[in-house]
Amino acid sequence: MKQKWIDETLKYLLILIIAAIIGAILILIKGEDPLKLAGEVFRYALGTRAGIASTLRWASPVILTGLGIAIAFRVGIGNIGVEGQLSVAALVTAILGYSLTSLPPIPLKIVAILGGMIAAALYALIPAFLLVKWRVNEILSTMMLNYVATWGTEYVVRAFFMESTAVVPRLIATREILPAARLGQLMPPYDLNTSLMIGVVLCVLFYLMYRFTRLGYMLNTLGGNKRFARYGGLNITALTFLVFALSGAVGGIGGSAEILGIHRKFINGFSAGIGWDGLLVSLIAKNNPLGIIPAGLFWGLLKNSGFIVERISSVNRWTIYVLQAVIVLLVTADLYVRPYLKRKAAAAKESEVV
Amino acid sequence: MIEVLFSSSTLASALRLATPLMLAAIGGAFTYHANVFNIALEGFMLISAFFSVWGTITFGSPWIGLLIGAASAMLASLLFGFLVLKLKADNIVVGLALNLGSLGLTTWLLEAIFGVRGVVMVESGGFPTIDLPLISKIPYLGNVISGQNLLVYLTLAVAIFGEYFIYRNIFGIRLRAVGEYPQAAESVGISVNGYRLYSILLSGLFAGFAGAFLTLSGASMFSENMTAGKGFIALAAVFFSQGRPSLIILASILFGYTEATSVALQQFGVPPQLMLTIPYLITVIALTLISAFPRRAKNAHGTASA
Repeated sequence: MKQKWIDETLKYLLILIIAAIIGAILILIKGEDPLKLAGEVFRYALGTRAGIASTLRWASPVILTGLGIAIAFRVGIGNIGVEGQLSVAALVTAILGYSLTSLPPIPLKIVAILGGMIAAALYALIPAFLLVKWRVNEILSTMMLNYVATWGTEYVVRAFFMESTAVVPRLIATREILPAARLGQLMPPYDLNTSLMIGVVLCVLFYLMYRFTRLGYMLNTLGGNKRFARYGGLNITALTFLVFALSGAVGGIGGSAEILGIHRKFINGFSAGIGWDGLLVSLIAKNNPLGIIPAGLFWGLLKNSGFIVERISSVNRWTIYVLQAVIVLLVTADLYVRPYLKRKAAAAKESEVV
Repeated sequence: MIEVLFSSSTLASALRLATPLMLAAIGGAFTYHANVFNIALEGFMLISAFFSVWGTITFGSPWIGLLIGAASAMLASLLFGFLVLKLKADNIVVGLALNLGSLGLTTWLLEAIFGVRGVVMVESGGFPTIDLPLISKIPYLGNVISGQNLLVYLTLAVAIFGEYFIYRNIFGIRLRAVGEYPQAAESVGISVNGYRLYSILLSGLFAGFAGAFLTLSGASMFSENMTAGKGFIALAAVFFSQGRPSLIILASILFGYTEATSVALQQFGVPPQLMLTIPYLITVIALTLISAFPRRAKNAHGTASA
């Protein structure tokens, strides 16, 4: 067990080193000093109050979306529609957040987030229904429904909830939420807010649920072997609906929190791809709820580093996407390299026998 | 409003906007039939969009630009193929990572090579537009079909050829066998992984053409993230038409039309967002209808989880 831990740590370290070398090459070609730049990025991102707040701020939404996606992927359900589900959640949260004027602060926040979760869960139930009823591949349907939700929510805002005082031409925005609906800042005056705690607590709760409860046992069985699960008497249809709803609802909090904690209203493009980032975070964490926390923090650090690099040097912040892609590809490649070598060895053995 | 919806200029721009979708979707059709879920079309397109501009500027000819763009996209598809086929990595994750990496790499290259931010123009211009001799005389239709970019006509020809290639040619028949029943294909000596790799490389090639069309027709330039989700609309067209090139032509024109009208209708106060949902919405409906009323045994695209 201990050996496995050391193995895993070394492997992730190696991946980081490879990514760092590639990053250094990209920076060198641009005529900047990678060591100096890296030093400054870390000094700022991890050594200053503003930097830490920003790293944690970017980690918060992807921890939530990452957990939402992991909930589906660990039982073999390919819900890649969290990006759309969280847009629906964000819209409902924004509307509740400015219209429920009679509620005191705490219930208002809870109702606004719950409303968003329910909306996201309902939206996630569409592909679930199509899958259960007609075997429509959920990867395809959720992917298409992402774009329907992204454009659809913008349309709904423009048609029914548009704030007339919006000054920026292409901006589509609702009214601003009530001050009482805002999520508390953890490190004022920075954007970092309590959604980080919501994410971390949910990750731990889901870990405990999978580990210690009857439902967790059923879901683990479902994830392990569908046929066994069916013979074992599990109601797969009900569990499928449940997993879709949970996945959408948890991912949806990621969208709601961006509204209540950061933007304070629904605006177009608010998500900036946190649903897709969540997919990659859940991959790095191998769909383990506890692993989502460090993976999300790491993702937040990378994202923040991109912004810092852009500010202090001539290197574009999108360069960080190359590093993110390299890291994800190396993690996936690694997941499969060992089985591949095993298969190869087995094949070699077989041909020897013949 | 009706006039705008059916004006020859709206239809002409629909055909123009449909062309990159058609090209990328033909590429996607190959992977569709080989049963490879190819979300990386977007990234292949973007890579090629950049390198086709680089090739055109460096060598002064859009044809060389097209070739270099297509080659660069094929190289990216080779990486996709290696990770998915050899290492058996998850195609969604690999595809998403490649899309992300393409966005980062092209933006970085734009600055590293051209020293500019955002946009680079091709001063020498791209592919010419062609006036078709007889057709241009036909009153309404002439304005739609004639006067398009050279690549528009080539694309239509390629799509028709693709239909033949996939359904009437031995390569296509083997390819579909690999997708529908890999064990059976294997048992008659068809290399399943070989055909899957061919299909991935072809998807890179055609997505590469699509990227080159984006940059080398009309304004002739590359801008950051210029594919902006076109690869995903192309993927929707693939699934909408179940990988059939003749239907891909129709689906692409339909999707191109929704894009053209989303712009044209803004002057009447119709928000563009509503039109933009249509390709995805009708693809979901089509997927549902295909699954609910199957005509024949389905490959894994029609069934539950991949």
